[in-house]
Amino acid sequence: MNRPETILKALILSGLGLMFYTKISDGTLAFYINQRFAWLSFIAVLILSALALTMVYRLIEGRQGRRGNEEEHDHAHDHHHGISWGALAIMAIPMLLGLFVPARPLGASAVNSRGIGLSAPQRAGSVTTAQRAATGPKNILDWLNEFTKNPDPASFNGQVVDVIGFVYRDPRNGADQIWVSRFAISCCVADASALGLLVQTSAASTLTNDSWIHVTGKFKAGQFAGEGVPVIIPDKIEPAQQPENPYLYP
Amino acid sequence: MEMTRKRLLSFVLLVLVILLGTFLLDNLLPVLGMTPAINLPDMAQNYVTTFVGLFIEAAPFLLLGSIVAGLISVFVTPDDMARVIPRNKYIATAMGALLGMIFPVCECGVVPVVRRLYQKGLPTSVGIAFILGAPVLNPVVIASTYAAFGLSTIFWARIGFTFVIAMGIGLVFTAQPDLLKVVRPATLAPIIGGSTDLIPIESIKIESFSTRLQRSFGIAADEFFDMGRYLVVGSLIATTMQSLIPQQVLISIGTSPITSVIALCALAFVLSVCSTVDAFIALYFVRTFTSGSIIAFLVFGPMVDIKSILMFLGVFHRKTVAYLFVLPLLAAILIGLVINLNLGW
Repeated sequence: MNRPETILKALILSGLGLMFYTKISDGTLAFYINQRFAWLSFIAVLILSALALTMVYRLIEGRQGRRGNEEEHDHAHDHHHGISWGALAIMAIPMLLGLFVPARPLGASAVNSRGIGLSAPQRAGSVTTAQRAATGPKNILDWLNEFTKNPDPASFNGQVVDVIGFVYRDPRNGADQIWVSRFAISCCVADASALGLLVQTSAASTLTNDSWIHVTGKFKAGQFAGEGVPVIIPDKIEPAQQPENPYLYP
Repeated sequence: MEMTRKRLLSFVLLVLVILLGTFLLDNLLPVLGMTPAINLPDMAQNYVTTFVGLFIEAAPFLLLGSIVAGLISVFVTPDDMARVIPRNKYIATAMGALLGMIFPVCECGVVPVVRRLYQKGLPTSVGIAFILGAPVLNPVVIASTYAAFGLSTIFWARIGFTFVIAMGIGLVFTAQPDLLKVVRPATLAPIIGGSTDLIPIESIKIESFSTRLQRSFGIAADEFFDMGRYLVVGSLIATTMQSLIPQQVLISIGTSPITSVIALCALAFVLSVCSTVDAFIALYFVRTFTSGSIIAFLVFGPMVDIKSILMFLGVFHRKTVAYLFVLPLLAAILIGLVINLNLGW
């Protein structure tokens, strides 16, 4: 048995387990994956701890000099093409990045590379807009679903809107326009798509990108990049806390 | 007696480690959290978030796959394998494509499992059919596809075409029954080593269940490191590609019957998301993209993507990996085009 290798494996397995554990316990898991899959991370913590303990056990056994037939064969089985230090270093990457880079959800800068979406992703068999509307105001995703069902922007004139999102500026926006936006994720941040509602306000210049705002107001038919879209004419724009779940789940 | 005391000792040790760990986590981490964390520019921060997200999503599946691989390695003997696999190559290959119903693994978990099955004497073609079919033809993915699409054409097309492609490509590999021409020698190391694989089978008989379980966990840990590096590198590449190719560029190609199929195959390859959830991602595209392209996305994505290619490279020869990439891609594109141009679904 290769002791340094086993020690490193034990450390990396524990480190990865710790990484999963901290993401779960401080709530930042929601910055990475859809909450629907959070239970998988619990399983990961359990398996990683069990595997780390197995490595520790292997070390103890090795120290006791109990290297009977069985261990010899394990040796042949497990290290048949000798894992290199490089391979161990690679496995340390997610551990180090996960533990030491502070968790921050995707923000306005990530919208640029994706482009802002004017239509909502769909998910059948989930909570419908009507069901969710009963529990609170429609969120940005709900509104975009409505827009898809009803493509005439003028039909939303005068409807009351009350949404939370972060500020994003598109190069195609006028100086008095911003987007109040959220990311929608199905699985993990790798499939994030940016959604937004256009806000028309003279106070646009005072709002900084990425700051979270709570917008209340009414819709009015307007224009974006030559397309007719409902635009929010706000009554009030207040600074808001970043929600616990920064993303929306279609 | 000696054995019992040792078990007791290791159990006490385990409890202590867990207690100590919990204490440290709850008391030390807030302190650690207050230390000035690295502040990265936006681009780098988004890159890290996406990469860590992809890893957090995929790693549990790889861990589960490694555990299954460890259990197979210890509890399944080549004799079992020979008894179970039918002689008829068509039936055997079909069984391979459907093996995922027993081992529910996605594309991250399938590679370690197939490697262990090969060591136990699984025929080449059956393993290939398994690797291509299992990520879709398993209870979890069938359930998630049902949740997303209901019993629609897309649902049945995904299952049907995956089976046909997996079995078809598996049969192609019956032309090359020599496993060594297909997989890297290291994959089969214990078999090539000769006696090494034979003695443990006898010793297994006298090993207690808990010793065997412990041994399978050791193998699972090694497997996780062996395959995990490909997952990490694959996730890094996928994240890089994503930041280089804006999603919007791919989506803008979505309405044409031909380019939409190619675009969604490219997207499936680049996104590298797990087959257990890709049905929900496909829902994004339902309104803007053609049905043929959605079906191609759902059939091709689970078979091949950036991170699975890297994991394949750890087990198969480069030439085999090229086949495993090109054949499913061509088949998926063909199916997508026929649906769009001829069937008009």
